[in-house]
Amino acid sequence: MSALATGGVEVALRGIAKRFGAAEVLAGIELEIAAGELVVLLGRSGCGKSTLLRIVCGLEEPSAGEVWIGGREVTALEPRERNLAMVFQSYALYPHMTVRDNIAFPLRIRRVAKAERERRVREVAALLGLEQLLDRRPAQLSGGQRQRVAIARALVRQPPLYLFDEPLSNLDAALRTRMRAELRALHARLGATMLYVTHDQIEAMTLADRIVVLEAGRIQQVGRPEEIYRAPANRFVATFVGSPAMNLIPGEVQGGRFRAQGAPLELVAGSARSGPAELGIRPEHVLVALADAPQPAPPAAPAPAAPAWLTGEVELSEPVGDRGYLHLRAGELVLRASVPGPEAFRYREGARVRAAIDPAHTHLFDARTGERWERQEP
Amino acid sequence: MNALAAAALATVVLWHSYQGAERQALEQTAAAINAEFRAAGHPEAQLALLAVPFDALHRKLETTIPRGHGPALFIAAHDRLGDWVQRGLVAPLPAEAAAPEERWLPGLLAALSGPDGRLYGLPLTYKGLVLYTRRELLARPPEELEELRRLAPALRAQGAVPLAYDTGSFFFHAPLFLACGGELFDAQGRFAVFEEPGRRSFALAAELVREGTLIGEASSASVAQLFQNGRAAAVISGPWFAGELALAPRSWEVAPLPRLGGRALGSFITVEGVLLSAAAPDPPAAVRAARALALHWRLRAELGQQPPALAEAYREEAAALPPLVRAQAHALRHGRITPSRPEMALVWEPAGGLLRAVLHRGEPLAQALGRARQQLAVASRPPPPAADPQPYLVAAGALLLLAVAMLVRRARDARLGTALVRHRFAYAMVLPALLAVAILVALPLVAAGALALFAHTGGGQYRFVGLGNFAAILGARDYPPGDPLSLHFTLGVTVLWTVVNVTLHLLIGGALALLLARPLLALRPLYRVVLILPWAVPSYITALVWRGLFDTQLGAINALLTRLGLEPVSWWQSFATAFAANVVTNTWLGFPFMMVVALGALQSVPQELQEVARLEGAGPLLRLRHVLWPCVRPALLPAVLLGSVWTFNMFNVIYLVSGGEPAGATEILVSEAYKWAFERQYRYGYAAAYAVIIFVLLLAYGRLVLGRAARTGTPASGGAAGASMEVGS
Ligand SMILES: Nc1ncnc2c1ncn2[C@@H]1O[C@H](COP(=O)(O)OP(=O)(O)OP(=O)(O)O)[C@@H](O)[C@H]1O
Ligand SMILES: [Mg+2]
Repeated sequence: MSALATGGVEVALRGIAKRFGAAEVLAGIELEIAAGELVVLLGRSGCGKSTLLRIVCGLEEPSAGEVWIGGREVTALEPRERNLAMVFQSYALYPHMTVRDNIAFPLRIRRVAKAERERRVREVAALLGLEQLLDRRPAQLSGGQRQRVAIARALVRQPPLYLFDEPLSNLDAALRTRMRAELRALHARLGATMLYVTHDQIEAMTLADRIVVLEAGRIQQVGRPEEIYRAPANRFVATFVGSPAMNLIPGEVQGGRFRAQGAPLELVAGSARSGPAELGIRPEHVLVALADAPQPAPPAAPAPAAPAWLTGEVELSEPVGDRGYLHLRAGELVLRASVPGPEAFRYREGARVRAAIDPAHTHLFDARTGERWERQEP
Repeated sequence: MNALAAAALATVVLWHSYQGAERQALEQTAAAINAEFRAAGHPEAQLALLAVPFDALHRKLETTIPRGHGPALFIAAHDRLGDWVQRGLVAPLPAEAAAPEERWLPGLLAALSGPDGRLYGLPLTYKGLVLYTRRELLARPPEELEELRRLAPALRAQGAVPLAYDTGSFFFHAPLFLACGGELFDAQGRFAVFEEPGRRSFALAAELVREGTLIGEASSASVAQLFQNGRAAAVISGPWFAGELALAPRSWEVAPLPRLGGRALGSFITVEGVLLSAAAPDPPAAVRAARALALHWRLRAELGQQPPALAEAYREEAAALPPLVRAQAHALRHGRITPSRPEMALVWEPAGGLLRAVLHRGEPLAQALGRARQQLAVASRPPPPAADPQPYLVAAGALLLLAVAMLVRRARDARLGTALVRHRFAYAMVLPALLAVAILVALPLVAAGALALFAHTGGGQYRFVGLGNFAAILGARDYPPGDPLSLHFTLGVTVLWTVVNVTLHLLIGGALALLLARPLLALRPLYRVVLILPWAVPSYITALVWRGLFDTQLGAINALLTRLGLEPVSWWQSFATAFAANVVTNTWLGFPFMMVVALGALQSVPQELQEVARLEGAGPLLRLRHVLWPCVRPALLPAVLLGSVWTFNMFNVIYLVSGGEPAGATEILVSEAYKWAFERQYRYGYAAAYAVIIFVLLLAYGRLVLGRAARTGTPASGGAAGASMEVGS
């Protein structure tokens, strides 16, 4: 373990709500974070992510509920008494201080001796590759360097809890990818608890131990990245996570079978419930073949969960290199499909195609509530 | 030419600055004269009156007449006549205009004669000092000063001052001075104000103050207030005083000045006459109109309460003349027409200073006299001797050559040419501003710099003295370095004044900005407006208001102190209190600017900088010191520079609040320059040299401050601004 390993604390949010005047920004937030976990808060702009983060760090007071950090209730405590550090989207570096002074500032405030200060600044600077930049001012740094200085400043005090508010959103794509990996490594090395806010699902998927999907101030789902992907808890999570978004086909479940509205599509529902529902299928699970190609041989013994076939035509074809995205129209239905890169060029706009939907990869959502229908595996 | 145009051309235009009853009387007199002239077949002598505000009259005359415009006649006091004769603004009257001379009261014609002995106008009236009394305090006006002295204890017991006048002005002291036999100049024309026997009058005034007969410290305004409120039994003032009172007619009286030890008191007399402009289009017509005006005394005396200048008016029907007229006639009979020789202008300042020192501050007479004599000597010292302009011309020529050579070198540099061509649109755009700056800033600067090399010898005449003015100022040999009148002292006070003020502006403005920057403060826009108000009011009005608040007898501040059970403070008696009063006034004027600048700067500091500091454990004070102040400082620096320059030159406050009291100790460089320019024989060159010295000092200071700012080079604000600066460079 490195000298910088800090260990983490558990965090718990109990019934947090926040209103600004009449506007309800957060409601009924319940969340338990284990020590050393990296949890990502994922949601659209304006859904209340920053507000929640600010409640955790104490810059904002919740209208209701409790914040617990390390087994201690801290709801009424000042930020400095919560022993945590935060990295802002704008980095919030002090423009009049050198990098060294910026990093050392939290120690200076806590009256750490000068020699010790210098030692710890050097340590975090080395960790983040900032040694050459210590005498510069923030204005003389690139975006990525500033980001690293902001992280170094958060790190220098070695608190057991870190909060990040969209720290990578001002960086270009390549740098973002690199910083993501660095953050991941940093987390592994420090072992600290991290709460990370982003609206970028790739960031959430790659970084998180667990993802918290937030929408309109309410938690939609909490789970490991693959849980969120495999079994989205509701229509919002299903369409929000994954790119391109999951297809939703309106229809009806009756007698264990799903029938689509306005398209000749029928397949095994795998659910005992009946009623109006939406069938979800991710684009990469829509199998596509040209209509005049030989039909793949049907399975020897037609299983009850055989794929359903649809015939339609290509409305739009978007090859992006390693993959291609197709918009298929079959009757009133428009399906998005994702095909491997080289294949994409075969599907010209207007081409007649057939598409197969495998019931094993489908999701069912209640058409009224949007909630997921649990189903027995076929 | 038609008749109307002929009539218009023939009109004799007369400028005056009378108000109220005096103006009405003049207008009716003119109407009567015009009717007479028309009847007598002299339509060319029609008088047309134009009222010009008093403060503007002299300036307007001095600018229009040399250009051949302006009035044919104007009414003015006699004291500037010498200057006007020298400048050729007025024309002499023909000898017969005033004939026969015995018709006029003695001395009046002489007052309107120039240094050459020729007559330049006809006297209309004169003004002198009289005694005003309150009936409920004094049954009848005292005929002897002794009466007032006897009644003094009883009057004081009623809470009233027995006698009040503006004790800080030599004009009002003149009755005592003349009664003691004081002379302004001796037989050789040397100053005699501070010598025997006039010297005794200062001791006498001090004695009257000591025994409680005469008020110690009073200004014209406070005298009027005291009389109005029944807290002064008798007041010595001029005819204008009656117009300032709002009292029932029977509650007060006007009388001639009382006698002193059997000797009648007179006063300084100002003669008002109708003067002939050098640019009068038809001088004979103008003279005829002037003579008619001078001879028509009755309306002016009865309606305008102006004492007639004609002796016959008094012989004829003395009883019918109003008391104000009779009392002034008494002042003339026993007084003296104020000398109009140029040296007289030098007497007022040191004599007033002496009176304030002795009567207001109780300084020993001998000491105050010594200083007054020296002040008079310094002010009357002749300007530096004429210098040979040749070396200066050579130096100026060399400088010019050097400048041209540099310009040529720059112009031959190919890059300049291409830059000019490439950015011609930009240059065209800034050209008007450049021209305006050249005309409004650079030209006056050069003119002032040139003026500083000359000495004004009076009457608009200048003499080249080279660096003589600078040598005289910087040599500072007139007073020892510790003396309040020395340049070193004044410079020290100026620097102290600037430092103290700017510090206070910054502290108060900054603190208020911090309060106002809080986003949740209720009624924030209201506070902002209220706090910016002191800035929006013209500074001289604010200064006058504060002067009133600090007034020793009537000021609200002393009233408050008394209410709180504290001793009232005589603000102008010590350097510390007078300086403090000035500082309070100027701080009131100056903090809003700093507040506005600081508020703007504070609001440009990103909220997150404060938040991150809070998370890291910095309390409000640490955040102020380590985050807010460093972020705001670059924006405040130019404001501090500007504020320093303004304060360094804050003439209004010094002149209007302390007026340099005590004894010139609170004077700053610029108010000293003003005094040389306008209160001591119009030494414009000397004042310009002061201005050049001030300019050089401020220029050096500005370079120092901005140079330091450039070296420490902090970006204006947060990371975003820093980033854009990076892109920009
Ligand atoms: N101080 C405030 N007063 C009133 N409303 C606020 C305040 N702060 C935030 N809000 C509102 O609360 C909602 C959530 O804001 P929040 O900043 O938490 O969003 P976010 O999820 O962080 O969005 P983004 O991704 O754009 O940063 C928004 O609708 C916002 O307008
Ligand atoms: Mg946010």
